[in-house]
Amino acid sequence: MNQRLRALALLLLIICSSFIPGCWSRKEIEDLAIVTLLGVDKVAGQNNQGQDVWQVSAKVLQPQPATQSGGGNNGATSTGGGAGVGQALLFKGTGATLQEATRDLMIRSPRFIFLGYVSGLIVGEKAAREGVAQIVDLQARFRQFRLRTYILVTPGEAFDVLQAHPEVDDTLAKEIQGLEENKVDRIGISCGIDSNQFIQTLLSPDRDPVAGEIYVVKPQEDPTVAVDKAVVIKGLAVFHGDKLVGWLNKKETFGYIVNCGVNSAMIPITVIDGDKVATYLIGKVESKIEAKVTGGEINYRVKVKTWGEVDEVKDIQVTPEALAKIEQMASATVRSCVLATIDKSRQLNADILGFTQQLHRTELTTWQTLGPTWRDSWREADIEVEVDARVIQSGKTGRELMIKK
Amino acid sequence: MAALLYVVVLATAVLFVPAITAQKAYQSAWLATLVLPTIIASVVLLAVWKLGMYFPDKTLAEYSEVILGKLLGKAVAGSYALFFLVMNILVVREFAEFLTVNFMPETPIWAFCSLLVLVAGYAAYKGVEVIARMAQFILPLFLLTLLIVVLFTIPDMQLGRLQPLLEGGVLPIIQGSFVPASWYGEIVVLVMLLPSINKPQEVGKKVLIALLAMTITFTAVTFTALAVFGPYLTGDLLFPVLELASYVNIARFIQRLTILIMTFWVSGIVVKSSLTFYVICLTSAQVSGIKNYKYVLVPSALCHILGSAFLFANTLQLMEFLDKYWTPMALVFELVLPLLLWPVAAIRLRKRRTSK
Amino acid sequence: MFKQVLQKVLGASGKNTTANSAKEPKEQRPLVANIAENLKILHQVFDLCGDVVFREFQLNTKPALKACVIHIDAVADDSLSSQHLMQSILLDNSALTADMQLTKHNAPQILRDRLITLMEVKTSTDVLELTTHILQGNVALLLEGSATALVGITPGGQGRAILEPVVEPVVRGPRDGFVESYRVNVALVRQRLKSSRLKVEVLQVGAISKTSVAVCYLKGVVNDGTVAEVKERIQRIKIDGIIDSAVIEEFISDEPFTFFPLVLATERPDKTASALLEGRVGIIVDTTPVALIVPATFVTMLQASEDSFNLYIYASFIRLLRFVALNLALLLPAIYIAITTYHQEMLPAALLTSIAQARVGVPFPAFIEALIMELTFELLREAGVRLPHNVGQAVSTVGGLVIGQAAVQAGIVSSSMVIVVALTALASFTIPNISASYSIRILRFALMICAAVLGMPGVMLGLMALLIHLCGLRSFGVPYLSPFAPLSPKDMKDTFVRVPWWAMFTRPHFSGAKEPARQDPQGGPQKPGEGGENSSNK
Repeated sequence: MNQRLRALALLLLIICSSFIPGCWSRKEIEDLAIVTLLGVDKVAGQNNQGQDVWQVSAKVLQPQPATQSGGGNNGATSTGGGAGVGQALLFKGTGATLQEATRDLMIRSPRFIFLGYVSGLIVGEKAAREGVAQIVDLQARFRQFRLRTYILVTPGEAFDVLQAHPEVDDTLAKEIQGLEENKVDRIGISCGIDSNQFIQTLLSPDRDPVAGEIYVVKPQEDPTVAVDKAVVIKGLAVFHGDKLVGWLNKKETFGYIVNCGVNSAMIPITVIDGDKVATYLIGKVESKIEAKVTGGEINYRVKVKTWGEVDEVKDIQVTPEALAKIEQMASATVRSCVLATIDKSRQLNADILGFTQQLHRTELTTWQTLGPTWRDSWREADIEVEVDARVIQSGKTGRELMIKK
Repeated sequence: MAALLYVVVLATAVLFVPAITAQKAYQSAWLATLVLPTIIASVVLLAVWKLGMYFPDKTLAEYSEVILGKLLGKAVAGSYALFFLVMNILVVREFAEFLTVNFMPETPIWAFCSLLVLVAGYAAYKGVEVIARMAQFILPLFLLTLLIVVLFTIPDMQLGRLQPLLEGGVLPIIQGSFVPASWYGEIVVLVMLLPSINKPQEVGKKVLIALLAMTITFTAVTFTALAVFGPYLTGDLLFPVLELASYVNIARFIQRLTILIMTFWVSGIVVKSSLTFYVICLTSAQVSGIKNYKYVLVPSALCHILGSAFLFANTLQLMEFLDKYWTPMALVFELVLPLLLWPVAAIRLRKRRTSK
Repeated sequence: MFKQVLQKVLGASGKNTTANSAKEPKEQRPLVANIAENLKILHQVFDLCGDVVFREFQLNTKPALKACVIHIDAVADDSLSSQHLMQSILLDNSALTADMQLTKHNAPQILRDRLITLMEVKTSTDVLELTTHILQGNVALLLEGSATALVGITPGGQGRAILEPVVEPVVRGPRDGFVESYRVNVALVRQRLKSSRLKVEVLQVGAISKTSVAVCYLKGVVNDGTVAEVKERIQRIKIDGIIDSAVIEEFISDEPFTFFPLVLATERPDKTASALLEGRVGIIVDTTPVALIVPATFVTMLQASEDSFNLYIYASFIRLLRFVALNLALLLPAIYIAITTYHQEMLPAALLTSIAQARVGVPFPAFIEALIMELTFELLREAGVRLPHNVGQAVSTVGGLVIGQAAVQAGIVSSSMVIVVALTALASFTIPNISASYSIRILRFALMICAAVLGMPGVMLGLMALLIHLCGLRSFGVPYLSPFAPLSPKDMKDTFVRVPWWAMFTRPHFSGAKEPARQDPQGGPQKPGEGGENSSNK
């Protein structure tokens, strides 16, 4: 009994004492440089080989002590300028690999870089054109990253985007996240693609990915506001495999969003018939791709249904007949947008709308005969687009407001 | 008992197996976890249960000597002890691996290994009853966690990602089935536990229910992972369920639920490791003729710590071992050996009865 | 195993029993027929006991009979003995008829049968027995020429009035609490269970204190094995004195080394009565206003007696809240430490910013910060308990100011930590059972250390070790974690939720299932319209 006890005590002692130098992974929260946005660029290197190097820039959260009543007369800790709560710092670093660049960027800061809160990964055009495989691989592999990071591509340098300032929210990251999460696709100007969707599409053998497009503008409206750079997310970047090949403009982007389907949207479609003008406000879009193989010929059919309302008219008496007319014309407009998207994607040779994916899913045997040339057969395939736009509401007033001439 | 086996099997399976299965069967992985493994595990259960009914008060280590004679019986029982040891070393290593890869990369592997072994050893010291009660206690927690993860990822699911079903025929599914089957087959630990169960007659039914429950849970989890991450990403991620939890985002506040997965994983694996630890000690004690299994605790704990900390150099070695070597080895011990022992035992017993 | 170590360390060994009492008469010795002789013996026994009163007098018989009344001042009930004993002996003997004159020989008989008006009178022929009686507060009457002494049962002793329980107050429900006298306490229980099946077995424990310990149970409801076990364990106690039921609690625990109370202590008679109805055993100890209830399970530590009286929906809500509070009290600081120092990626983004802001400029690591705050809180609590009520309030005000404001403003601790500590404190106050909340508080520190060393995995491993310990615990044979482990859904009626009383059909199964049904299953409430004879309303 006693001997066993001693042995047990010894074992416990050994194990406990081995933990004295422990706390290996301990990092206090204030020792972390919490990165909220990450920009990745390829830039010309300064070394003599003249090779391009990675440039990683990061927006780092700078926690300020919560302002206290009394102005902190007894707080010996209130350092730093008059920056607002949660001001973000910007760092930039270069290196031969992404991680080297990441180390480089925080070289002046006493804190450790922490990527657990990166809400957006912005890729510069040059890096994107050369391929994002390396970035994406790091993103999926490195444990601090999460798959719910939004992927954005900017024409130009990502570093410029990070130099922008938030207009509405207190940090740029929050603003971008908010736009991506619940705004851009609902107003039909872009689409929030997070790394899960992006990587999945990249990995799948039958579809090409897109990513949101972000760029910097100068707000003009109010000269008293000091912000000289703000961001806009508008349009989509098209990839062929992992390489950026082009951009979708406003119309094509809308076509893409229609094809994906969207809920609780507010997308206006202008319908013009001579003098008469109306706005068809899309509230909901459902879309379906059908793949059919008849005698070796691949046929695709896109079926789009939209539900919307008409609130704004000019010189139109809102009657059921007029609404039917609006429906018809709106359908045509939406259809032209979808067709534009299809044309653009064919032009860029990137099956971003997932036609082949649908073929893979429903016509397995045909897919298996395609092999690596699947993009070609998709480019040559027949694609029909059917749009059924419905007006389900026409606002609070009746047929028309009788306004005197 | 049912709860115990359920927790024991699922604790590690849920985290590792969806990825391994998806690598082979892609979007049909959820089918791979559904049909064949359940059938295999039912066969295992049947054999184990029949054997147990032949010798209601004996464990495998004891009745294998009766069936196969002293020498061969001891060899079989000893190899089972080794099998359980390898299994537990893997479990401990998986635990440490999971934590270091995802959460605390700077912490040495041996720290986690030794602590887990310490806790599991404590449970094994307390005996099988305590372990069973632990399992019952954490089972609701376990289910709740999985339920939360599955429910909260519903907004991100796209059923289209599961299409096309049965791409490449049935073969990939069968290939993908063996890994889950080897996991389900871990119910083979019953061979050492049957005598300590109150109502052994009901065990067959209860474990079958547990088996079905495991299948449903496991399939649901695999299904969720596939529907959210698609077949290709699921196969590439090491721990899809963990990623699922971290992917959850509801109202921008319910997010980053990795902590849930971690807690349930740690609690589940403690139960699993405890039970295996107990079984190892019991088997090796009975093989070597030691009366009290508690004497074997400390030596086998040392084996565990050393084995788990130093047998594999990195995660990929572990994954490769799990994928390539462990599955056949496990299936031999889980399926083949019981199926061999069963007829031999039947014949022996009949002979004995007729000779009497 | 540990017990032996402890015994060795503390230098106790089985050879010299500490509980020796040389002065008291050990062996039995019969009384003799000579009062002087008997008195001499008793004087020897009660030598130097200033509170023992020997009142010698003579009965007015012819010839006058010498007698002596012996009792202990203030332990025996004075008014009882003077009214019903002295008065009846000395004054009322005129009631005796002529043919029944008191003589030496019939005096004990006649006094007892015809004169003494006390409710209970016993006889004793033994010095030891007589001594015990006197010590218990009875009055001994020695008579000339008789070897039999009369004993008037007049236990009085000093006690306080029945007051509202201090530790377990209720808003709705009975307001009487146990007092120090076990007779009153048993009576309080008896008043609630007016049945002959309520058995009260009184045992004497303590070589010197000779404390009465009443084991109460409902015959036919309780598991007989449990009763036998309780009695055996109580009788096994060999100690000089039992000052409080807590001493008994420690002696009869199943597991000598545990953080958790394996015996439920309560100062509420209603709680005791309902425990008896569930088939538990109550132990009421003299001089202690706290009764013990066994077997106790972990869930009983979270049941307040008020749960039984409030609307069951509300009671269930509160019960659930309490389970949450239990987890908070145990885990919150540990989780806070683990997350802020190891797993920052697990915080929702919004929280991260505020915690990071609060932590700016705090000079300590989170663990030290938490430790300081928790210790300060425990200090405050202790100070509040030790001080008189009115001063205690001042302490809590000062403490609140120091913790809440000054420390944050001075930048010594972060405001988020203050919130964590305050929440933890609040949560730990909601645990109805005091001993359970003490154990939770101690374990909290252990888990904080786990969190500081290994983060969340450390916390979980610590918790699992705790769970293993809990699963291994039994209270009088009943697994401590039942009905969760082993799972027994039928017994969950009074755990996470409290089902309505009309649905509490069965008692917990540990009562031995001798009489599992508590009520007629048809007896639930019925709406007036549906109240048919054979309505199958459940």
